[in-house]
Amino acid sequence: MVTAGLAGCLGDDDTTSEDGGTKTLHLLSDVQVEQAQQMFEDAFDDWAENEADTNVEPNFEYVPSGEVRNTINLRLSAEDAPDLIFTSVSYHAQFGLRGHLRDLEDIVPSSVPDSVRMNLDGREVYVPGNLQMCSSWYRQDVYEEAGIEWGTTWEEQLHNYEVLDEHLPDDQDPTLYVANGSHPYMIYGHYHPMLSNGSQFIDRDSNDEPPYPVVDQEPHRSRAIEYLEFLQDAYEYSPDSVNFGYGEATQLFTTERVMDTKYPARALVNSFNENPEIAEHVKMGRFADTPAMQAGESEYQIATIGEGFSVPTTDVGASNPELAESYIDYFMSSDYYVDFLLTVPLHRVPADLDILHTDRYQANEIVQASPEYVSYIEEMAEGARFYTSLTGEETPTTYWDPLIRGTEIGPSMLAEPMVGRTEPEEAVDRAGDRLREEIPQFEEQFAE
Amino acid sequence: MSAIQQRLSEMQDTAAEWKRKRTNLLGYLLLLPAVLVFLVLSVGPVLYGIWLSFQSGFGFLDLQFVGLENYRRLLFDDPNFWSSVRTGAVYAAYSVVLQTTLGVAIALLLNESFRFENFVRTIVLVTYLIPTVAVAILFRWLLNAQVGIVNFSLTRYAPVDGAVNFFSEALALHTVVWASGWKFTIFVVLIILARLQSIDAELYELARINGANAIQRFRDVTYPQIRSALFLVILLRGIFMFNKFDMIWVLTEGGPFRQTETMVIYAYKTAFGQQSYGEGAAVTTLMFLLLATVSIVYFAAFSPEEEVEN
Repeated sequence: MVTAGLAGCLGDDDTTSEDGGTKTLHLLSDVQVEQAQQMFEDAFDDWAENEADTNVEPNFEYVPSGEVRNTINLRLSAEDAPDLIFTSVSYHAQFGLRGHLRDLEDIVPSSVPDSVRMNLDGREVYVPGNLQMCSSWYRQDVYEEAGIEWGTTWEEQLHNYEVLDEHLPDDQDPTLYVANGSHPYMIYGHYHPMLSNGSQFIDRDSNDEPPYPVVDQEPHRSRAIEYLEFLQDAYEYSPDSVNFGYGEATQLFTTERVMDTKYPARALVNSFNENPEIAEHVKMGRFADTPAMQAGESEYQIATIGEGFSVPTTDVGASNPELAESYIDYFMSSDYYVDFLLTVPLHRVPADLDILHTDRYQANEIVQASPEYVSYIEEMAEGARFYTSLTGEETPTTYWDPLIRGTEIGPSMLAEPMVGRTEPEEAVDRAGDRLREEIPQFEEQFAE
Repeated sequence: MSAIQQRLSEMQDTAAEWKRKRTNLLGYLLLLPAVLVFLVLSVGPVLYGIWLSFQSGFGFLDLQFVGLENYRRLLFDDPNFWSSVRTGAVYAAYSVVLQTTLGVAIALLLNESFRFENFVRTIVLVTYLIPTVAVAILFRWLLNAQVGIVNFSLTRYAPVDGAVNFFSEALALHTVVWASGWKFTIFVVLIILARLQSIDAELYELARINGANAIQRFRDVTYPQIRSALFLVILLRGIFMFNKFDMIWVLTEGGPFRQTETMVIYAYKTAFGQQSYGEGAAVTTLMFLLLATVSIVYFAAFSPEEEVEN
């Protein structure tokens, strides 16, 4: 039915055919799960038949996550934009900042909270689809055998790993999934606990103020150093392979080697699918309190990422933006959207939390088996912020993520002290210096 | 010479000149397609890359001329760039030594006469026929810590307690170099073997008559004969390995913790990871300049022309 990818890859932008007035709807996404792709396509069939007021052919182009930003960039540069994009929020932010995305205010569901919307200079360029609420997962059976409980502080976490190291047979290692040195975005996952303890790189009070670096200013400097020292210790229990990617890390969770992973529901799904007898022992553990939190100087805050839709403007070659908006509107209010979320249950948390309690969502066995995670999501979602809006009180700010992600600051700051190549103090100060140098460039770029 | 004869002679000269020019013109015309292809596919991208290295901007959007800013930043403010230069140099040097040593040894073996020598020579070529990406994927699986056959064999048949992580910080560079060696050593074998087979057998006979042992025969007969080929092989392998991307990227993506991040990997990550094409182009331009400088020094130091003449 659907000719995924090929036409798009060939740059087939002949989206409006003269014969019979058939139009083409071109969706570009980095969604890789086939069942999720199928939801897009099934929804298209229904929408095209019942909602679209013209003949529409689908052109679904799926590219790997690592290539999606480059693909979008090349398409926009060549004025060959797709009609709609479904990908990570940060990419939408980057392209929205440059004025290449349409205002979608009319189709963002009213039930979506302000905290996960993206408002750029008065224009909502993003329809939030889901969040990814990170937490830790551990094997309760292994913990019980070793006579320990989930650690609620950094010290307890590290102590647990020492106990597990002693307790487990020689051919098994406790593994704390803290890093993958080869991949900036995997290390990037460590911003979750880093941000939750208040040692973020940049602070800003509102959308109207310029961002400024705080990582080398107190109290953030001390907190960042504490966190890097923790990572240095935790590194002993991290997988040392370059090839532990997202999928492999969560895959390992289903074996006896990995006792704790920071990745959310993917690990849970793997357990259910591939090792159901282990799944019943998989429990959610909150991120450990940091020294700053224990001292009452910092509050628990979840930084999250998410995925959603945007619609490029006709200036960059999009042909059917109205159709695209109609399709998004239909998809987001359909059962296909809920089923799309459930292709990786609880990993893709609905932006509209009410969906968590719908019969369709609750019918899923993994959701049923994880009530504590649902509660956790509900409890923490209010305080959740996209990477793009970590401390802002207003609608999401968009500077932080492109700045950090677009540079080597984060990975360098985390990776090098972790493996003992630099001292935490040096890494923090170097990150501060680099930010001070780069922020004016970003400001200038965004101002344009 | 009469006036008529002189006139005829002049006409003949003119005709010869015209014929020569026509021949030259035809030659130029025949060359033109190749020159055009070279200009469009090689010179053009190189010049575009150099032009891009003076630009700044996100991807191809909003490019702005920034002069030497990308170079200044790389050379004076970016420790990761220098780390990639060092890693690239180590990877290239280590690979060249490994491939040249093994390649010469294998070529010497294959140069001997034995049963099925042609078959064996053909089999050895196979490594060069497999695409590099396929080789890299094979090695990833073979050396996988969980399901790799190498680790299975080590833990089962060798006194190894646990699985060896060939992609750890300590071993990743060695793994990449040896995997590259498996694939590319045959290049050295082919060049050296071709040279060995052109050596006059009488030279070895003379050496034997004079009482030279195997080592002396290699030193006094073989080595002088293959020196010029070795010069070329070392230069080419050095350049190829310094530029090597596919093998490293598929095996390690430059990790872990930048242990295998060579210049070309760094350029790719900068350009396509950070969407900073200008800075990525600056890395490759610096790489080009570095390789050109090393090649010039190498030529000056080892004077290959004399070797060839000898």
